[in-house]
Formats: sequence, structure tokens, C-alpha cells
Amino acid sequence: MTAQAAEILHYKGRELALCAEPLDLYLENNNIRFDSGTISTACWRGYIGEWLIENRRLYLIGINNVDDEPIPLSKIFPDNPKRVFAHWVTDELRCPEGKLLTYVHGGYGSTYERDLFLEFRQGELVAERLVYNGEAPDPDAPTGYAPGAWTTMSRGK
Amino acid sequence: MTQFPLWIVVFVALGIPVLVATRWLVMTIERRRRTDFVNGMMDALADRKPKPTVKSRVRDIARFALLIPIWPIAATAVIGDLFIRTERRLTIDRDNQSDFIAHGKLTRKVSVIEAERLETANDPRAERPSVPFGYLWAGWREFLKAKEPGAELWSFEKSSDIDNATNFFNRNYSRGYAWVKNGKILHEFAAEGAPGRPFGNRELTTDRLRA
Repeated sequence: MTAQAAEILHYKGRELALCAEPLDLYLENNNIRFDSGTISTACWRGYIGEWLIENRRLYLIGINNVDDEPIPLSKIFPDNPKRVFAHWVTDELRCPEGKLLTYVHGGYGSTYERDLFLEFRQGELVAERLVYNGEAPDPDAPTGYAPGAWTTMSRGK
Repeated sequence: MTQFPLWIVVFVALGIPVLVATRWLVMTIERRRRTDFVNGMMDALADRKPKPTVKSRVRDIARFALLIPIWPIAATAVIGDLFIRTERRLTIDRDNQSDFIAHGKLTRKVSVIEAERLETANDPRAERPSVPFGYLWAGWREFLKAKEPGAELWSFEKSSDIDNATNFFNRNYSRGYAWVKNGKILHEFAAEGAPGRPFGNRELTTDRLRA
């Protein structure tokens, strides 16, 4: 088990780590899998999505594979949009912020000083809340969400 | 010898309540051991059953009367069969659809046309494709192709405990449609839901704040 790389979310002029996989439902329904040349244990899903909240709506604006190469949205969305309104998302998404409090080497389990929770109903932002989890005792604790260690392997052809 | 008719009366007087109690016990245990999913299906099917006729009622009473002379054997056999069937059913549930049984609920039977009408949204900003299910339309078309003969379309809702370690790759909520045949979920299509959130323990942080 390995901590997973977060998605990227642009919100109010900031770049946040999004500890959720909003694209998962779409990919599963369409039986789409990302197979790049590399397998990373920190990114079993095989991609990192880039998201934007604008006018209280959640949009997918880009996708990169594990090798950090961009995947054109037109490859996944047949209508060839420049950005995709994620109307299928109904959930409260979590964006951890601040210094690391507790590291968990699995999923998105690590705890940071703050969690920004964004609640969506059918892709529309309906509420947000900021939760303070405490202050890191170590002033040199790592800042910002990141997996601690991972293994990469080349996919056999 | 003169007491023989009395023994018959006592035997029958004991047998009738025992058989009635056995029948009630079996029905109660079966209902409790069924999942919400199966009970929902049974209730839905019961609504469509024709009402019993006088002939069918007479036939049921006659069958019951035939069991009275052998009520000790009948009661033992029925209770024994209940436990054997329960074991068998539990095995089937675990093998085939344990995740759905644990977390899901079929809400109602729908037609394809009705589902598509329900899932068509008029987006004032025109950012959602105007077809049913929006961007999920292609996936829906594939789901429709997966229909097997005799399968029925049901809407479903699923939710599960996000703190559960076995839920590593599951969503904690989803809503959509499923092909159902003979009480089994054949295929699922999620129309809306929460993204996968492996070990994203939001309640842990909230509790810490309260503490």
C-alpha cells in the first residue's frame, strides 16, 4: 500500500491538492483505463486530473499521465470540449493544507493542519468549510500534501 | 380403547397451533435474514400478484389439513429445511453480490425511456450535453447494450462506510441504474456519485476539532 498522489484543484487563485478522484465514475462507466509506459505505486489510477472551480462549478481542465505527459481531453470526452463540467460529482471533496501532522502510507490517509472541504451537488459547489486539525509540533514538518515514498516500474511491452 | 378418540382430539389440538406457529416462525426468520434488497424485490413482486381466489384458498386449507396427521414430522422437516436453505442462500449472496447486498438498495423498477427522461437536465449555462446523462451518455449506451434477455431495469442507491478498510476503491455514495434478473444484479451504471476516496477520513478531522 502506498500513499496516493492527489489531483490538482485551482480555486480562488490557489493551487490545492485534491484528495479525491472525481473522474473515476466517468472512467468506470466508459471502461477507460490509462496505460502509460510507467506504473507508479503512488498513482495506481494512472493519471492526475487538473480541476478548476469557476462560478461555483467544478470543471476538469486537464489530465496528465504518470510520466507527466498531457493526455488530450478529446481522447476521453467525445465532444472534444476544452473543459468538462463534472455534473456527475455529488460529494464533499477534501483538500488538505498546511504542515503534516500524521503520515499514513496508504490512500489519502495523512492528516495535515487544515482540511478544506468543498461540497458539491451535481457538480455545483454548494458549501465549503475549513477544519483545523491542530498545529504541527515540528516547525520543519513538510508542508503540503505529498506521498512519502513510492516505486515506479516500466510497463512491459 | 374408549380413550382413543380423546387422544386423536389432543393430537390434532396440539398439531394445529404447532403448524401455524412453525409457519409464522419460518416466515419471520426468512424475512429477517433476507437483505433489504431481497425484501424490496419481494414486496414489489407481491404488489403485482393476483388476489387469491376461493378455489386457491380451499386448496391451501386442504393442504394444511393433510399435514395435521403428520404434524410432528412436517414441523421438524420445515424447520430443518429453513436452516439448510439459509446456509445455501448466504453462500450465494457472498459469492455473487456481497458489496451490493451490504451497501446498496434497489429503489424501483423503471423503463429505459423513464430513466432517460429523469436524467435529462436543462443546463442554463449549456455546459452539460443536452442528451440524457450528459457526459455519461456514451457509457449509458454501452450499459443498455449489456442487457440480457429477461433482465429488468431498476434504479439503485449505494452508500458505504468510508472508514471501512475494505472500501479502499469504493465510492461512499452512488446512485444509478442496474440490470436485475432473478434477483441478481447483472450490471450497474452510476449516474452520479462521490469520487473514490481511499482512506480519506474526513470524520477523523472533524472529531479532533470538536475534542
